[in-house]
Amino acid sequence: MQVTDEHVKALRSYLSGDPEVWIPVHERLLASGRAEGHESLIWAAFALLVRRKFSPTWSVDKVIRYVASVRASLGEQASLIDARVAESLMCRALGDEVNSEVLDKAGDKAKVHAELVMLMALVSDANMDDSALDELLESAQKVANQWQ
Amino acid sequence: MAVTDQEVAVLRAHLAGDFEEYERLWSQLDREAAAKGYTALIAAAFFEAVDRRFSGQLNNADVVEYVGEVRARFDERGTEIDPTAAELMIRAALGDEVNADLDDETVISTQLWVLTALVLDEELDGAALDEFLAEARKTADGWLSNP
Repeated sequence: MQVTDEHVKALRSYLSGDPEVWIPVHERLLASGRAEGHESLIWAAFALLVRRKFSPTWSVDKVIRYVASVRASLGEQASLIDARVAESLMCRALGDEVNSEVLDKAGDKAKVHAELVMLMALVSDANMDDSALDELLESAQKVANQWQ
Repeated sequence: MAVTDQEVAVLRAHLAGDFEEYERLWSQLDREAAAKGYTALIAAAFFEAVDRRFSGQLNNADVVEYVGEVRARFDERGTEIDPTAAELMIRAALGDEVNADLDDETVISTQLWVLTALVLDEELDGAALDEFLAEARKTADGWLSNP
């Protein structure tokens, strides 16, 4: 399924901190059984930012520390993100299938949830303004559509 | 039943990083007794070390950061130390009521990894390590005499 402008608009609303737009669209897409494009866009944006932040010199310990710092920033909500799922997703984005069995076992919901939380942290770390965010989502849409 | 001198010596060798001595002592350990005594000693030392590190105060962000730090230092591929188990067990040691259904192997292995990191961080000399283990032994003996 192609990544549509609706998917882009939805993810932009999430990254801009607009839950009133984001939550109903996200839940509707996930419940519709037609979330493939939506999920591809989330993954592509996540993977692009992970690579920007960690490539070319990355290591598993840096990934572990980063995930821990993001989860720590969630305080009592840290357990909502499975550390190993988030780490494995980041490693996969960097081309390493370390601990990939964790991803095989994790449900789609847990993976998308981890991607979204980590994506928000990555966007925040990158201090992205509106145009940088648009550029990221445009690149992510292109990349995701190439996979279709 | 009580913790034996031999069990204390095994854990001491491990925590002092003397792995040759550890292997030697471990191979001589009475495994049946160790299933209770040695595991109780590890658990008591873990509780004591966690309490010292976090000063008895539970702050989830500190726990998550610390477990991440331990895994980054000691778990090269991120596959050995279960972060969920480690966080839950530290929280439990700090008095939090956690709902954890962990198997014995995960519990012991996680306690040992985290305990090792905590003791290394404390940079205990020989006398301080002895004192720490004596304290842990006292706690473990208390548990074993009142199961």
